[in-house]
Amino acid sequence: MSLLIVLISFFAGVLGSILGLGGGIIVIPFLTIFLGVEIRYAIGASIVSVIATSSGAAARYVRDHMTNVRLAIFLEVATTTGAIVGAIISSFVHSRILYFIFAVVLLHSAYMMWKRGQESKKGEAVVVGKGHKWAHFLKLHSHYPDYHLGRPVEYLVENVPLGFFYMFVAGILSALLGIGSGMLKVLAMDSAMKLPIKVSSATSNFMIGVTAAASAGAYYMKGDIKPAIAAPVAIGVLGGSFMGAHLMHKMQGALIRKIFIVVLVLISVQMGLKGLSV
Amino acid sequence: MKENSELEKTELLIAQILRWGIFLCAIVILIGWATGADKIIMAGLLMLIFLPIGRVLAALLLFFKQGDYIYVGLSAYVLIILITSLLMGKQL
Repeated sequence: MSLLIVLISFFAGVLGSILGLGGGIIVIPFLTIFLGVEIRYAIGASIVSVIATSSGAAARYVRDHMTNVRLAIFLEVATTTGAIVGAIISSFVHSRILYFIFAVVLLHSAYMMWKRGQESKKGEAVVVGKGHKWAHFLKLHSHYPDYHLGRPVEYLVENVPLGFFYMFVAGILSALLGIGSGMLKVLAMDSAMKLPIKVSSATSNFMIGVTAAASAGAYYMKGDIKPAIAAPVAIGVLGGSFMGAHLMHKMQGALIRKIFIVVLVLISVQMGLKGLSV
Repeated sequence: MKENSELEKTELLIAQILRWGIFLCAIVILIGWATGADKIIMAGLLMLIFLPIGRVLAALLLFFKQGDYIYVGLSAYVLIILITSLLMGKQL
């Protein structure tokens, strides 16, 4: 069974780092639905795997200058604060509610992703708007190297306060559900703050680990992290995330978005069903 | 332009720290898993939890070197929250 966990975690790691998620989205449903693991321990194992994915892929993205480090740190103020709030709330919430929140969040994300895809039919290299004034002050505007276009692309950052608020919510959800909230982060950066999808994904990856650590510490001390589960998950995900980061460079933004939507819907349905049966 | 290359050097350093950190954690967890020693696994997992703390600390120090005090402050806040979480876990 350990080997099975490693394999699935590897797959989760690959998918996770390509999509800018922590892999928790895939690991938790797998552990709870197919292996019948109690959700508390699934969350504990997942939150650790989330740190692993984040760190694994982040190293590569940062080195390739895809990550907006200043934006990440700025938004982490919101996510970590949210995470502390979420960790406190989690002690009072029944697991059935967690499944439903999970399902709803996933569906909402799929919808938002699809909407954004409709908006940017012109392609990823379009720069619209003038950038938010906070972004100017905080030096958030930047550029990234585009593999397909073969040159650096400049971008501006919009809607900073809204993005900040989304990140706070993402932090709460991260602590509550044991996920990195990568999808909500990518969503906020992609739809609200108008960043190129690859930058959103890379920056999200960088942030996920920090957000996860903000609640992982609490789960560790609570005893919700079981070595027998957490170890194979961590190992599998680490391997997968290195592989995924390597592949991401070569893929087109539009394709990444399409995969994202399909994955989200599938898993949303599964979690909803699970919530009904608990 | 100078500021751009400063940021790029910062990025490369952070990337290095991340890679070495994960490598270490992975080795420890792997050893613990292979030998069935739960205590070693837990130590490795704790190291993994500390990695993002190291990441933010590295960013803070580098921002300090650049004289970017707004970001020193922001990083410091994040660091405090991370440490609070660890301490808080004991009460929950």
